[in-house]
Amino acid sequence: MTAIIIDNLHVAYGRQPVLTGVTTTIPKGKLTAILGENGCGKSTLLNTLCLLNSINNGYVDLFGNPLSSYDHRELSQTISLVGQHTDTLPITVFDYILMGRTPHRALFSIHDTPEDRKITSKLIARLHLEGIKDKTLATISGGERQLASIARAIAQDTPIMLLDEPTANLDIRHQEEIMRLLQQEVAQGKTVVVVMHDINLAARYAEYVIMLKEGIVFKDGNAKDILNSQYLSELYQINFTKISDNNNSIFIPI
Amino acid sequence: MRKYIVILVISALCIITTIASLCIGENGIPLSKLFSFNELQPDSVEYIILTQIRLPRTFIALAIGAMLGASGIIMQAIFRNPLVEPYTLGTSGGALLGVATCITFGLSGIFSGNGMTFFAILGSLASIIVVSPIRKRNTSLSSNKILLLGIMFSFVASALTTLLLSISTREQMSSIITWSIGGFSSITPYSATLCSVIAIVTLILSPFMGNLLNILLLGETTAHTLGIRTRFYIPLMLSIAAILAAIEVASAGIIAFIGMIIPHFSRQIIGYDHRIALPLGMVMGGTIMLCCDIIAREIIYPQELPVGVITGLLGGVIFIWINHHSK
Repeated sequence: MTAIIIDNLHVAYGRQPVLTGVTTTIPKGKLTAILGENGCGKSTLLNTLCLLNSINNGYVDLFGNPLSSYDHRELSQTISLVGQHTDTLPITVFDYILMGRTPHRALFSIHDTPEDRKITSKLIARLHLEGIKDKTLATISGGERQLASIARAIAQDTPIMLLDEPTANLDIRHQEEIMRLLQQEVAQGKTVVVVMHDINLAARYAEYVIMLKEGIVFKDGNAKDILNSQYLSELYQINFTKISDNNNSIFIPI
Repeated sequence: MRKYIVILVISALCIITTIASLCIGENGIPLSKLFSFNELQPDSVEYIILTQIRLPRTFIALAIGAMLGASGIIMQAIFRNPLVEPYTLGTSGGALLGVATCITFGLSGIFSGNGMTFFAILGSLASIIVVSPIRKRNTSLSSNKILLLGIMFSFVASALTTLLLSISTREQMSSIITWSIGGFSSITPYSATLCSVIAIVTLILSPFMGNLLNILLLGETTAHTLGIRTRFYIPLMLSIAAILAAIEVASAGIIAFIGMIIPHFSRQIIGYDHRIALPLGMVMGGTIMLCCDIIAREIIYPQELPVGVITGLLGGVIFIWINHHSK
């Protein structure tokens, strides 16, 4: 089953074309990794799915409905986005995650609903964030901030989650923690799309891969079919070798 | 619990300062006479002083402080920049240019004598209109580019104001300069009523605006993905901030610093939650403005200092002290 259909998508920043005819599908209920060189349009693709960019040409479909048919609130209840950069605001982790419930409540409300607070508390317990829930984002580590951002997106309770380099600048423990968390969300039926630079992390966790090159789709398909030395070498313009051990594979640039 | 204590303390300080403002002056009014206001004779000195001078002045100082506080809090939340204040986008420069245009071309009498207010608001909103076209979808609102445009608008408005000063009569020039200094010595009951009504309406609506500001604090991109129509609400909130600043300038001239320090004080004392910070920030702004006004009118009595001198000096010193001693 398909969650997102993208057909001949063109997006530009002013006169500078970024996506020049992207055509692909994103399967429902799987973890999809988007790979590609810097500047190939990965982040632009994610932002376009949230209508942060104007679509110059092409078509996008979410669960069988055109993207253009979603009003703002409906879209925020369908897609959540975790950006590249985390906030260092003087907001407690609890309140930050609680803000993920915004699409589900009145904009001009004065009080938080008990239900939203309960959802947030349960999420904090599930993600083992009790120790930092009363700390501000400015006083916690980068890894904890990223976890809080993802928790906010989970609180938003959308069937599609988009994440732009969620493991960037994180140590290995936090990288693994985040990827396992995303796997749990996929296990609960969510469609998770992750822009990644770490090929080996993608090889371990992604079920579907989209390779973007110069604004168009270079290759897309099941991870085990797409992630090979040949395609990676063509994608990144450097040679790779693959080392396999039982069920694990590692790609090393040579 | 701490929040309720803070609300009580700030409210109490506001009431105490208001009473002090009504009592203190060349003709001091005892508390007993103040609390038995209804029994005062309409032709008594106390009644005339209270109704003609002290009440309007007190209300406008509270209202102006509240409006500047609100405008500053809104601006700093939207731009996520602690250096932004109500005048940063050129709102004060635009408003003063509007007032200068009105006075120079003799338009103060239009709209039943409210020409200056009209032109001040027009000039203030012009700054928003100038800055907003560059806000294409892919431009971050927090970018230095937008703030620089606002600062440049201020310089242009200032240059045009200077031009108008050069072609105005001595009397017109004096009026324009008086406006630019900022103070409450020549407020009218009409100005006091207008500012009070606007401040009260803003105060009532402020908790409802607070949740929106909380989300906007996360940045335009995150707010958009959380379902906020940022292309509508950000200009709306900026317009509210600009109108508050414009009406303030139209009524009392340019009063520096309050719009910048109140957001800092409210963050330090109340925290980031704008559902509480915005209304309490308004009360704090009014209280501090009123304190500064009492000092301004008494410190070199019988002369009166422009209140902006006091707000700048006191506000700056307190701000530096708090930041040196904060965690």
